[in-house]
Amino acid sequence: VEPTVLIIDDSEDDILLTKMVLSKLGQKIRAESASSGEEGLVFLRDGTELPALVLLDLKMPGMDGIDVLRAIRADDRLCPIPVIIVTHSDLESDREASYQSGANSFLNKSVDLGQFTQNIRSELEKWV
Amino acid sequence: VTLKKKLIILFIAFTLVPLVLFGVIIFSRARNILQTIRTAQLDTIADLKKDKIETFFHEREADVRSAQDFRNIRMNLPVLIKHASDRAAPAYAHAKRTLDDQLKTFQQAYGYLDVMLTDRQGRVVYVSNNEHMANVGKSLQDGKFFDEGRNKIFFSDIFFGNQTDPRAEMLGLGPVRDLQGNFAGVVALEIDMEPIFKFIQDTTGLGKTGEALIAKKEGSKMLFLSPLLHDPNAPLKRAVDLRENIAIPAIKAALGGSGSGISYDYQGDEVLAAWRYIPFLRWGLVTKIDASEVFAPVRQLKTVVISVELLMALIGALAALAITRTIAGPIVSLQRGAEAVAAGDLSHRVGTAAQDEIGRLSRAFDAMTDAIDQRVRERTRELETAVAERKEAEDILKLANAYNRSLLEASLDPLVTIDANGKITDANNAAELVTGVSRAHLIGSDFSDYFTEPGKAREGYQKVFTDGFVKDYPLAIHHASGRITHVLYNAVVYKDAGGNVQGVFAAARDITERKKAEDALRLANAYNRSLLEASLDPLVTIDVNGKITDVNLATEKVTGRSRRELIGTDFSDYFTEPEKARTGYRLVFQEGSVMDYALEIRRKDGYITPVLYNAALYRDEAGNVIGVFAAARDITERKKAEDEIKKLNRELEARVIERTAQLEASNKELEAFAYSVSHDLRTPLRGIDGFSLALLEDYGDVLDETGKDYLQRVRAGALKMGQLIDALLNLSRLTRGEVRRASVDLSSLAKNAAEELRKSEPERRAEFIIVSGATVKGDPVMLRAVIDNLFANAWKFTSKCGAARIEFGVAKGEERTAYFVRDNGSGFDMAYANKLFTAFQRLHGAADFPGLGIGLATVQRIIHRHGGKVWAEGEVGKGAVFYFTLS
Repeated sequence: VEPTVLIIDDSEDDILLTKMVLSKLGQKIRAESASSGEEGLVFLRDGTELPALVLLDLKMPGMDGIDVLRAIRADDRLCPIPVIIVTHSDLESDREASYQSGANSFLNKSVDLGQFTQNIRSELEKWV
Repeated sequence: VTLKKKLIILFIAFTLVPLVLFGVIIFSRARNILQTIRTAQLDTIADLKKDKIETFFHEREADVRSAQDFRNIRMNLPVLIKHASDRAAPAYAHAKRTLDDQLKTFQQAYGYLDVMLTDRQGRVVYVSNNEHMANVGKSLQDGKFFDEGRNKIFFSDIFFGNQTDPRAEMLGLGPVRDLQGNFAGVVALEIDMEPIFKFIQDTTGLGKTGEALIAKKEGSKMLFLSPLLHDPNAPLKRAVDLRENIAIPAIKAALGGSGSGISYDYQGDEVLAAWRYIPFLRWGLVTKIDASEVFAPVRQLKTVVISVELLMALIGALAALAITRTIAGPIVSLQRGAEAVAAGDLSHRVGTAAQDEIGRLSRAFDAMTDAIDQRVRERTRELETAVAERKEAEDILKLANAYNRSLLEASLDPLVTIDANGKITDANNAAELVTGVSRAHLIGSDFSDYFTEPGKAREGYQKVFTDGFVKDYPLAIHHASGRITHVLYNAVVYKDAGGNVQGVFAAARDITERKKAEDALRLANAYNRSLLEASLDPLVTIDVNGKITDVNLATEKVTGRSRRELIGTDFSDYFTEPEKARTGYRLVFQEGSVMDYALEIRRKDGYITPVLYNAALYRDEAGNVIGVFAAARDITERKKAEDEIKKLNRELEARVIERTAQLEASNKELEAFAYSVSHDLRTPLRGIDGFSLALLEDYGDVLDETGKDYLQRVRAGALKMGQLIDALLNLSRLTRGEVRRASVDLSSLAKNAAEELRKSEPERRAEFIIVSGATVKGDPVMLRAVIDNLFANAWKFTSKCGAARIEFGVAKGEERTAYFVRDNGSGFDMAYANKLFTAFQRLHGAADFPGLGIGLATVQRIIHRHGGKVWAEGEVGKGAVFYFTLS
């Protein structure tokens, strides 16, 4: 059974790029996406199977990444899912808030896609 | 003979003599006991051995008797004798065989060496031991014992067997009769002596030197029969003449005696022996032990006892010495003490701590000497004191008279004594001078005559007689020349030893000068007073209780009360805060003064005047505190001005706070804006780069080289822009947050930066010169960014020259210390010096020196945030220097 990775990001471009990166890892992964925090939560709550990993953007209109993360950690069923924050932010305050809210890791959306690919690969090895 | 010697002799007599006696008794007793015990042992052993030997030979006798009665022998012996010449005869053989059957068994069963039979002449006709067959036909032992044996049972002497069998043997002989009762021959049993000798030689219970032996009288000699301890070949060989004085116990035994005691053995040694005669064999038996062994324990005991005695004697002697010391020593020192005291040395003490009678006697003697000494000393002291006191009294008296007189004469005050009638009885030199009358004339004249007011003078001395004294009685003395001297009289009555009034002693003090001084003082007071009154500042003096003692006009005005009303009242009553006023003047008493102590005076009509008090203690000439002098300054006007300033300040502060808040808010907005701009800029940028990469990777095959090159350029542009955004974010971050102030070692930051640069391009030749100990106060993170940027800059612009030389140093200026980074790189045109620090401003082409153009802008931002300055000097091709200062 190929593991599912859920990408929650308001940027269609970023979702597309992340899916592209995932597809080039040479690993059978099913990539699902949600374009807002609310949509992501619906996907998680309604799905019969839990994804193996959630890649979560921080800055989103409506529910932002921290809100979604807290909701996941507050839900007994969703709580065990590993969540990696993927953001353009490199602020120490964002990193700290993420870890305090229960993030498993904190990744920078590097403009350099090669660098980003490497980062995603090592995170997947760790959590999936 | 001294006591000491007596005691030592006594001690020796009492210890040594009994010990010696005791030793002697013990020795002889022990010797007796040992001898008795050993003798008893020897007797027992001798008796035992005698019994055993006798028993043995009685058994052998019984054997002989049995053999005599053997029917076999009685029947066959004659047959053997009859056919002796024809041994082959069947009768002979039969007889021999029959005898062999029985006698061989008999021989072996009873342990005989042989059983032999002889004919009536003593010739051997039968031997049971086949080895002895050679003896058959020969006469038995050369016939030595045959004659005895043919008549009765007889035991031969001990003899030695032949050459082949050299053992000691004996024969038991007895006559044999045939069945008819006629003498047929002799039966002889050959007895082996070895077991007997072994038994005799068994020295069990006899100790090391113990020995048992047997001997026999042979004519005039005594022959030893058994081997001796010291001579194993003695048997039948060793003999002793009976008259000799050795081997006495053996001789005694051999001669038929029995007994025991101390004697001398065959070697002439002293032995303890027991001897017995065995009549049956005519043997003497001796058991003996060397006396030396018997009495060895006594000898050992002797050694021990003598050692103990010597030790005891030594201890005794030492004890005697010690005791004589403790007894005779103290007596001798007591005797010496008595002699010394008798000779008059009262300081001598026998001095002993001993608790015995002599000790107590010595202490009693010392106590007695003490008492005598004490008494003599006391008496001497009393006498000396009495003499000294008398002398002192006389001296004092002499001195007092002279002293009194000189005191009187030396006094500058006129002194006189007056009798009850007012006549002068004595006067001093000062009295002569003040009156202008000689002492001779003064004495006997009327005291009151010399005053301007004789009546007052008379009243004065009369008052002395009635009251006993007068004090500061003012009079004026009239000099003969007419000069008047103002004086104060002090006078007392003087009495004789019995307490009777003798007259008046009167001393005058010239107060002319004092009067002048008082006048001057009065004038000065008036002057001071007017000064005080003229002062515009309210002045008061306060006593130690806080009561007002004086005020000036200004005080009257400011309080609205008259001088009379104020003096004597409480100082603190006239202030809005009486307690604070009290604290103020108490502080003066404590500290000596106060400065600018703020109070408010309340006027009678309620008007309030703010004042500052300066106050200090004032003292009399002797330095005693009299009170506080307090001067107030009216500060109504000043206070108004101050209030105005305060109000302005408050308004200003409020405005500043408001402005700061506005600034902070706009700063925050700006930061948020910058952050969100760079964040939002990144998102599309990522799309540009990401999709370009996707195109290249997934659709590379449908693009020609030019198309691919374009896409690469798109990507390079995107990456560059990403870096610019990062740099901008960094720059804006440096404007945020507090500048921390900590001690920062710029030298070590410079060393780290140099190290990093070297590592980044190890192949480059570069020299770093870094001054040490450049420590400043500042934000460690920001200052690190400054040093890193300046070094990176220097590194970059020296990359074209052969050998880079980068220096970090300190330049001490007049006001501030400047730090600099100097390089020998490509430098710059000073015309553009001020553009260096502008963000994104570059003086070199990116192809020559790649960079973002934001490093120096960052440096400037940080230095400005530290309140410092940054500037650069350079020349194209000749390197550059970047200076900065910190506040």
